[in-house]
Amino acid sequence: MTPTMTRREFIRNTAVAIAANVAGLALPASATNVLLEGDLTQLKWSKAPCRFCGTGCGVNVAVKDGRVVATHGDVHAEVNRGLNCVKGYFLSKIMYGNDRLTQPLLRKKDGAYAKDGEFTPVSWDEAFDVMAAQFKRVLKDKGPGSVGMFGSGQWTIWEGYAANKLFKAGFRSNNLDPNARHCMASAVMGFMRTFGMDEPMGCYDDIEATDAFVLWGSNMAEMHPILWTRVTDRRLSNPHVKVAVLSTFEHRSFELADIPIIFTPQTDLVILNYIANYIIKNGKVNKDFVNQHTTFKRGVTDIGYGLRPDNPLEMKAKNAKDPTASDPIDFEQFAAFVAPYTLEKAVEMTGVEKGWLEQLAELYADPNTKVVSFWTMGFNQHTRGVWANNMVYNLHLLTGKISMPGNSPFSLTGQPSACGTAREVGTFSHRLPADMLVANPEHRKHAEEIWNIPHGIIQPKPGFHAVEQNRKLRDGVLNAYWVQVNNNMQAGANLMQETYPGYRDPRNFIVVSDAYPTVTAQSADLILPAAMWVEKEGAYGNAERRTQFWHQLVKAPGEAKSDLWQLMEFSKRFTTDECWPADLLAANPQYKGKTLFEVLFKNGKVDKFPTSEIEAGYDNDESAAFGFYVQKGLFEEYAEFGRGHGHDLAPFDAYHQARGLRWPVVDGHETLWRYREGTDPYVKAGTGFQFYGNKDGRAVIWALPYEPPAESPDKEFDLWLVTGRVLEHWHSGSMTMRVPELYRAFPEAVVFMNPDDAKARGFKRGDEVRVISRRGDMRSRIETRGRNRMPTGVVFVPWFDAGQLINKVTLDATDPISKQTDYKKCAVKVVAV
Amino acid sequence: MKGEQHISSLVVLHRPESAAIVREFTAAHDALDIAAEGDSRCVLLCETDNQRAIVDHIDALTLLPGVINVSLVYHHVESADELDKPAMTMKSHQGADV
Repeated sequence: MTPTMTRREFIRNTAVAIAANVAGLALPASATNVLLEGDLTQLKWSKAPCRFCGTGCGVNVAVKDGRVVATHGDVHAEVNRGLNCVKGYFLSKIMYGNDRLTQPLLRKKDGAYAKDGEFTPVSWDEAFDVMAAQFKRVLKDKGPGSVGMFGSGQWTIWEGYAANKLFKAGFRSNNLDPNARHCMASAVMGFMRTFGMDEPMGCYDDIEATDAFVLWGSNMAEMHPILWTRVTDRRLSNPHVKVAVLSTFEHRSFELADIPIIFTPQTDLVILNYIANYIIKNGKVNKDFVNQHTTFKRGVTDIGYGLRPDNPLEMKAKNAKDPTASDPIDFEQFAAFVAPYTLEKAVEMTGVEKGWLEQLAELYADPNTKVVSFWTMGFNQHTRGVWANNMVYNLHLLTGKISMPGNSPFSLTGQPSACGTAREVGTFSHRLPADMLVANPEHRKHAEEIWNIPHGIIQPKPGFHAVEQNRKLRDGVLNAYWVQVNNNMQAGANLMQETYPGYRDPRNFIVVSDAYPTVTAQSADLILPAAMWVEKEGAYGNAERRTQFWHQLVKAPGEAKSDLWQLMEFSKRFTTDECWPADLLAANPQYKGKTLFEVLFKNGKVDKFPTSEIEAGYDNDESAAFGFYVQKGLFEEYAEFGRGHGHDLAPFDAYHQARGLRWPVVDGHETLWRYREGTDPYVKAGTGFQFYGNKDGRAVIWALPYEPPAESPDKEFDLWLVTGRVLEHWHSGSMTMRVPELYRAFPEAVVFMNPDDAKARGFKRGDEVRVISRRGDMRSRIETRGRNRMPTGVVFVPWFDAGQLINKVTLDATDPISKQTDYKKCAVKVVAV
Repeated sequence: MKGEQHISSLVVLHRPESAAIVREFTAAHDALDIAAEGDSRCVLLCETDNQRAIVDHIDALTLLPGVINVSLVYHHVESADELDKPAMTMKSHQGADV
């Protein structure tokens, strides 16, 4: 550096050098002095995964005087290689909204808790006293089936694990479900039915190795912008690469599409079976692969829509009671099953031009084209979402395009730890860690052994899933209810008929832990202020099986406490005598009289690691409070579930060093492609492939048909309503809406409508309208331009805006197998105000 | 911060045939400079006196025909006065004085 250089020049050079490095471009001569300006600015930089989506980007977080002041993409993170999306750039601001909650708030009247009282600041002691009294009342009067919890794919791994133990072992209630039910449940059941094991076989490295990308119901350009950058880079740098984008309307990802496909809602099922038929009819089946590594099954049909059992649609459905049943078939029967899905039928049902359908089918059929299929909510929030997942695996299995670089059916994830916490920890109402099930006696026994609790504690019956929890609150069956890290009043479908009445029913006591006063928090009886992101030590698991850790970098404001502290501290207020049956305690007297904290967390395992093992220079408020390295103890106990069973996690300390590791991690090595010999240590030599989640080592190809959606437009409600997100806002907007730059970029939800539809109704752009369904209505404004271009007959409304609750309108129809809500299809009309 | 100055760098991915459009746009905006170019990507340097202007530039670039993606990579903010001072001697990644 020349002595005459100013700081401006120096910083400009640094900015250019880092960006050129990220982009893989040669540096201009002026910028060859790459300098670290950390020394200069007295910032302490640490690594953390981003707080927002399931991509799992690594960010560097700068702390100055106890406050996060900057974030930038981590050049050492394999996921994002120094890039950052607009949300990641503003991460440093999400903790500093003006309305951050800093003390517990209880509804009180005349100095005591009252359902119709006003929110009043109280101490943690008073908050937990009242909350414990309510939980004990319900446990005593109605039993464990009437307490429950709604958690999150934004929980850290140990928070989800602690909640799982507290509810399934401590309170003996399986009424624990995560909001991941709304986004990932269909993907989970798809994996389980095809492979017998959850989560993708491939990883993001497939992006740089493939010849074709197919987006099935995923707007990656806005929802997974960093992965989209990698896709874009692959496409633009390699002209032979093709990108197919399928959706019910045109969005930003279409800008890169070589094969753009807009289809009639629900007919993605037709396209999937047409492609399977095309592969078979054109002799492109990989016969060796199919013979050696797959089996065929035909699923039952007419399975209903997961509505309340007394709904006429459910009464009519033949197989609503057992939607997962199936019969074994062979290849010829499968071929006959998909044979009616001809090109002509596909064109007729989907409304797509035949040339595009043929080009798409050929991507899968051509043995020389490697294909990555991506999908998110378009598949998962679908009343036949599990089927759609099974059917896309069919295409990869028929052609053997799986488990190798560039050939990858890849289910993308919405939340930062939907995989790591909700799925792997098993916080669903039917699950235990490492894909185990509460209904399986062997699995319960194994969990009870790891947890050091008596046999018979874990209940065999699955608890209430997310949508059912709302219904049971409304019916007065579920009476003591705790919500952490989610905004279900805004996110849950059909809020006027199902969600809100349940929260405000005087029989029920509702607790919400959050960092901000969301609409859910405001509907509660007790609000607990939560620490967020780097205010606590954490761990997330992203969509490619990568487990990532971070340290606590700053203190939470006021009296805000992490969800982990809340769960563990609350457990101290219950004894086993209050929660466990007398006969079990009589047979196991060593547990008698102990608190749940003692039997679940001070159990000789979780409290095994001293606080001295915490890395120097970092706070850890939970460990300071409980006197042992809480996160390490919980993680090491949890890891016992998966080690040796295909879910192996590395030792705790390794994750504080690495930029994440993809499980199974065996002998220090992560696994990039599962199920294939040579890349997966669990596959035996000489087998080629082993889908070892299934006992026979084979993946299942499923014969499943097209079935219509629960509700379609008719004369009165004449438009399809699709809901979803926009780039600037994530989750329900509870964090992004508090960042002025993001709020300003997209301040209010609008109704995206085709200009012809608007004209026919006499609307101009910006007109205020009412969106009305059979269930409710909301006000918004018409948008005919901008990022989403609608076909006629379809409108799109984003759901982040708490001032315009689109879920007053949506239908709570779910996939009967996964219980995941279909937010993508219902019938509405739009009228002038 | 009064008189603040924001220096940031962007990576723009575009179709090869749209390079000229990005160049024209950059030439028309004082805050932007092209710092490095490839066939389908370039690095832009962005210097503005407020943070919102960065986001506005990103939005405008995203809307150009043929531009697929804009990512912000580096961001620095301090007062304009400080930036005009001579840079002090610092340590490089390797620890050597430069």
